[in-house]
Amino acid sequence: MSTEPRILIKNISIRNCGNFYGQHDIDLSDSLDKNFTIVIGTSGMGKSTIFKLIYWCLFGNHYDPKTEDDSSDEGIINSTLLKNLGNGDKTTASVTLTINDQDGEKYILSRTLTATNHRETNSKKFDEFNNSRINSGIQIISESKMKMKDDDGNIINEKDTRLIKNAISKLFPENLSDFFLFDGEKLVQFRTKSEAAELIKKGIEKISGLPIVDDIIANSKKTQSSILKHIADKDVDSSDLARRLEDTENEINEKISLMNEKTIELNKNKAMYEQVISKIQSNKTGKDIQSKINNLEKSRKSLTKEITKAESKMKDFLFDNLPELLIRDTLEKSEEIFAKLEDEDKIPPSISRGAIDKILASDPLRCICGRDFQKEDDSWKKLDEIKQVIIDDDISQGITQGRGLISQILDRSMPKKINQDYFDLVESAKTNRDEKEKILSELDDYNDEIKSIEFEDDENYAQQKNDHWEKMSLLTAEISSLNEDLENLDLEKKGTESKLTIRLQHEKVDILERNKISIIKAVQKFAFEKRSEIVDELRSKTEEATNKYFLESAPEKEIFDHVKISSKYDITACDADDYVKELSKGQSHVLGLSYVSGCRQITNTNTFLFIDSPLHNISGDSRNEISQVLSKNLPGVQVVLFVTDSEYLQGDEKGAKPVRHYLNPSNKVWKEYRIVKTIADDGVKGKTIEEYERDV
Amino acid sequence: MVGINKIILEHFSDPNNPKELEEILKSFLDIESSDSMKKSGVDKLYDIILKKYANNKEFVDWCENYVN
Repeated sequence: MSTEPRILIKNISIRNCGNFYGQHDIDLSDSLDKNFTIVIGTSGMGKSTIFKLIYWCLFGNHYDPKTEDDSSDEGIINSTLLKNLGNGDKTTASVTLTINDQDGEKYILSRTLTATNHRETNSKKFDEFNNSRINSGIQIISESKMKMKDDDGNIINEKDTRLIKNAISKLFPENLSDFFLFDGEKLVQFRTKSEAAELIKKGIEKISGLPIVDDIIANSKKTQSSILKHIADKDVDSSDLARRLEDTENEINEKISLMNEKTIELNKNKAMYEQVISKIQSNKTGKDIQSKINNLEKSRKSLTKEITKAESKMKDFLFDNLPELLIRDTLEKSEEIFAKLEDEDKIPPSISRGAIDKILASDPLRCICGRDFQKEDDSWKKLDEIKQVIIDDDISQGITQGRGLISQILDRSMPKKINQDYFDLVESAKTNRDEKEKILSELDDYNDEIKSIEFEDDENYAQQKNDHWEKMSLLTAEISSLNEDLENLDLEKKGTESKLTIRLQHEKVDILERNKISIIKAVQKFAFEKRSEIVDELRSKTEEATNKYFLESAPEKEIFDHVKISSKYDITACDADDYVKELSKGQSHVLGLSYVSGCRQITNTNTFLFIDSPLHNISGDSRNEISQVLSKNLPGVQVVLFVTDSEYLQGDEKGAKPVRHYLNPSNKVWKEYRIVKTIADDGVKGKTIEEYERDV
Repeated sequence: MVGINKIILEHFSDPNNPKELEEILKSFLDIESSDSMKKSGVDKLYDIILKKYANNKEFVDWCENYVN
């Protein structure tokens, strides 16, 4: 459990917000044992609205900020009230949170929107406060109020939004809101590799607060450019170079931004592709075919690697052998000429002085050919003459060494052997290529088979799969091309930078300006290096913490040995042989919740945890497992779950018991609330929140 | 004011490096974490901070060696 003080929301009071007309209060548990409060509501009843209103009240920002293009008429203020607002009329909507720590009430935070209708009109405008389209004649003002203690311990009602924000951000940093106000639908993202990776990447950035380091790196680069431009402006040539540098930098930034767009698009496509695969696998025939496709894909990938390796080996082989093979004829002719010259005693034989000394020192005197001879022999005299020639003439050494080298090359560059070795490499690559062709053809056949499957929802998943695949291939190629462009531009930038630096040094510009550049470059390098270190450290900590929770709680946990988060943030659960295990929907959800619990541990958060739709889109058994994971992993933490009736109160046709059975009100749950439709005394239709009482 | 994460401060503080580098980074972090700072003029503020250290030959030499 965290060592941080316990922070919880004791009461939520909603007035005229969303579908909730009038005043509605929800008391939440502050018990350490019965730490769960459940809010039940069928789809569309307003569970997510309450969740978003809590976010709005805490931070003064919208959970899902809309724009003019994607907004609807539904905003913070009850839409019926806004619609019926007469000329000159006013209406207010507010959310009030009572925030407690272990000593009791700490803050009472209220956000209020007041709408006034100044004129009758049918036209609409987008209003940022209300996060919706509203009638153009209406003006909305926002107010915040927080009951808190001042430095002397006196109770004050603070209205300064900046001071309220400071006090709240100390308890609830908005960048870490995912770890206390968690949208359970994000758990679905843990079923697809790319979406989970994106979520983890963002999570790590949020935990570490890395954007601030990124800002330092970006602004350091900007400062360096400004200083360079400032210096260069004093000279025409330098000014040209500085302008060229700026153009290159702009081009680099454009390419980076384009590459980021393409990468986001690629990730979206990957996620959609994985969703299509998951749909295909939801059909029994589809699952069988997809499983065969997955195996073939593995073989295809492995063969592609082998082919790339063989091609690289062939290139290296040719690079090593071709030049020697090409000069072999010339070398052979040279050797013939050398031999002839040697026969004619025009050059000394190919033997080194060292070798001759060795012969002359041997006892009995023995030639390298094995023949013994006497000092009076002609051979001895000849040998002595040769030695004399070698000693007398340095060139002879060169000739001897050269002939030695020629001989080595001739030995190495045997055409038949080289030909055979090369042929073997070509054959091996060809076999792999033929095998790959076969696999591709089989893959085509299986993909055609998917076309003939009739899915329950009549969707053409084979076509969708193909479309996403083609799009992904195209985007990958575009990203790779942009990467190449960036590498070239980076070289160009470095070249221009270097020219400019030399030019500026030559011109003896202000030494102070040059020193500033040296310092800012060091700052950039240091910040960049530290950024990588921080990411690595947090990735490893997140992995460790997620691992701990997952191995304690995962369904069939005995088949898992560890959780891994790769440098690309891919999260996988592996067995003892480091083999990645396929996860069921329930296991994926537990992995997601383990990640959230792990991150809470890293951030030492003992704040409440509100989860919207934690049981969304999973089987009855998995729902029960998830609820048990939550009750086990979060002892003493105030937990509020927003669930549907069917998820919480019903089992399933396979015999799974309702979640309520496991989170029995007599056990972990303090109170249950239900959102129901209501008609107010003045006839306005809306929703209300009432305590749910039912025998278990 | 955006809170500066402890992990960043820990990593930015390295006793093996000149204290001047840590001071500069601390100033930059203060600028970046300030809500009231206009983001368009940050390079000018950076420049003012750099100016304070540009006469410190020993530190500038360290920077040059570190970058190269």
